[in-house]
Parts: sequence; C-alpha cells; structure tokens
Amino acid sequence: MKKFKSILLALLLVVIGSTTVFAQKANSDVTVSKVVDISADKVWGKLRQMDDIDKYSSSIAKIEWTGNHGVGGQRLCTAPDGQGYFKESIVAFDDSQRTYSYALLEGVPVKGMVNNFKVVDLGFNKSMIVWTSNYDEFIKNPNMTKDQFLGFLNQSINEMITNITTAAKS
Amino acid sequence: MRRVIQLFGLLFIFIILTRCSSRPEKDVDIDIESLTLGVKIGVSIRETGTSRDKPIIYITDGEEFLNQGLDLYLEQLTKTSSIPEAYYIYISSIDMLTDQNKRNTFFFCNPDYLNFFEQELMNVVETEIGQTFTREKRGLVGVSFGALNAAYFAAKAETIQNFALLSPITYPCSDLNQAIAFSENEDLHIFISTGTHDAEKYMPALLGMFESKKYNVKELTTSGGHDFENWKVQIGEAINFMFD
Repeated sequence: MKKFKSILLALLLVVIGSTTVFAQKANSDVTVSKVVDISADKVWGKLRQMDDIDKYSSSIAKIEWTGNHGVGGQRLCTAPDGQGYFKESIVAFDDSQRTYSYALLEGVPVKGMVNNFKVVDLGFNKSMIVWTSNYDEFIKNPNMTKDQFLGFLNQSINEMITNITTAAKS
Repeated sequence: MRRVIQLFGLLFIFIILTRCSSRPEKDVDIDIESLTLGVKIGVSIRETGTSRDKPIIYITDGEEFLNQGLDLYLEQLTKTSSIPEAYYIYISSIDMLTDQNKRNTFFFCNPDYLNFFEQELMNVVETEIGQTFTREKRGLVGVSFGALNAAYFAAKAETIQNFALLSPITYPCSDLNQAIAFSENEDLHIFISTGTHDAEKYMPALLGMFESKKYNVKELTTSGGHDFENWKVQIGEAINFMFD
C-alpha cells in the first residue's frame, strides 16, 4: 500500500511538475500537448512510424504490427511483464495534416476509446504535439480505478512525447 | 365415361402440380410510414425466379435503380443464369410526405436509419414475402453515399452478412472507421468497387479496415465513372460474390 501511494505521488508530481506538458479538458476527454523547438516535419517523421512506439514508452516492451502501414493497420503492444497487452487499430492517418488516430480494441478498461496524435506547425522550427483521447465509458474492475487509469495514461503519453521529442532532435 | 373422368382427373392433378412448381413471381409496391424516421417511404419488391429458397437483396436509392431499369436488367441476368434467383427490395429515399430526397440524412452513419431498416422495413417486407430470412441470406447494395451507408451497416447491423459497396464516398462520416474497428460483426462478405476518377481516394482506408477485421472482401476497379452505367456492369459480379 505504501509503495502504491509512492507511485501515485510520483505520478502526481510528474503531471503537476511538468511546465511544458499539460492535460486539460476540451472537446476531448483528455488532452496532452507540448510545444517543442523542433520542426513539425521532424516530429511527424518520428510519430508517423507508428510501429516503434516501444522505443518511446517504458510501458511497452514489444510491438507486433499487422496489416497496412496506415488505416486498418493494427499494433499489439505487450507490457514489460510479458503478460499485459493492448491492441490498437489505426482508424485515421493523414501525412498532409500530420495526424493519426487509433482505437483501443482490447486490453484497456474502457469502451470506445479513440486517441489522436497531431503535430501542429508553429513555424520557425517550432511545433506543438497534441494528443487527445475520447472514450465512451470506463469499465469498473478490481485492478484499477478510473483516476488511476487516467493517471497512467497521462504519464505514459507525457513520457512518449518527451522521448519522441528527444529522438526528433537527434 | 369413366375413362374420360379419369383423364380429367389426371389433367387436373397435372395442372395443380405445374402451378405449384412455377409459383408466380412476386412484384409488389408498398409504402412504409416510419415511426423512427417520421417519413413515408416507397418500397418495391421484385422477385426473380420461382424457387423459394433464395436470398433477399436490399437496395438503397431504389427509385434510381428502377428509373435506370436495373430491375429489368437483373431479371435478364437471372434468366440467363448469370446470377442467382433473389428477392430484390428497392428502397426509395424520397419521403412521400414532403417529396424530399432524404438520402443525405439517411446515409450519413445514421443510427435511426439503421433502426428503421432492422426494426421496421425488414419486418414489413419479409412479412409481405411470407418468409423470414437469415443473416446469411440477406444482402445490402448501396452506391455512392448509399455505399457509405452500407459500410456503416456492415459495422453496426446484426441482421445482414453480405454487402456491396459501389463507389463508396465516405467523407461525410468521420467516425466510420472507428465504428468498423469496434464492430463485433464477424464473417462478413463485402464487395467494394470504384471507377476511375471516382471513389479511389476512399477505397484504401475502407479496404484496410475491412481486411483488419478478416472479412471476406473482394475489390474491383473499373474504368467507368460515378454513374449507373458503371454500376450496372458490375452489379452481377457483386451479387455473385455476395451469394456464391
């Protein structure tokens, strides 16, 4: 329990302590965005790969990609413990708008979750990475509360955005 | 005299048997006043062939199909055994109460239109025919926005297994792909086609989504355009794919 509290506290600090990354309620259920000093094309060049997000997230150990490298493509993401997994389906992909969306099909305690990445060109080698999430309903379960799930999601996306930014810089 | 009576008896039995084996085809026009949609819709039932065990094919934009003589063309194809016998249900999009064509309301991923279809239309039509069809025996054909509607029904309808999407134009429905992604429907047969300078832009995404669901998909690209001339030449192939 003590360990769990420490993890929650750490998560809280990550979310509150971040100055450039923030979450807010807008039209989406959750929005995370970050302004970076890198061109939109460079950031999108990394994001559009889609099949290598295990490089950028510590909650994903392995990706198995099937189907198109675009709409209809699916990625099976396995957790580091080798047991947990989630399956996602790409439902929108647009190079010209630097955006893609994916639906969470299995492995998460929510119904109808669709997430979206978009890179907004701010000019002068600046861009903004925006991640939004919408879902229909949280499914009550013994492993995780809704707040814990959203906290985990927030932390994972913040981590991924930070790591993608670092990779795009190099 | 006895012999004459016997001959008449045999003749009578022969006539009865002949009539039973060549049951007249059913051609009926009905109007459905929909509680769900608040409209009055014309529906034409056309039967090809005389067998009883055959599929039922629902066709949206039915008034246009009839105007273009597609019903006669399908009858002709059936007579030459190019396509299987079937019941064809031509569903008009015109609201008879206002004389407005409602296709741009009905076909844009509209759950009310789906409810109308599954709860009202199918009941009325299949009661009229006197037969309830299984999911495997039902098909839906749509062209253009009607094909968008067919794609949405493929994701949401629980009562239809076979779909023909001719020149699907999908931009009015941004949530279509996620509806397909989250769909629990299995084992669908989907024929999907485009002409040239037609629906090419919308095909890859739809194909990608349907293939990700492991559906039985057949793709066709023709040199025709976004018109009935093009759809006419492929409708036989679509029907054969759905019910072969």
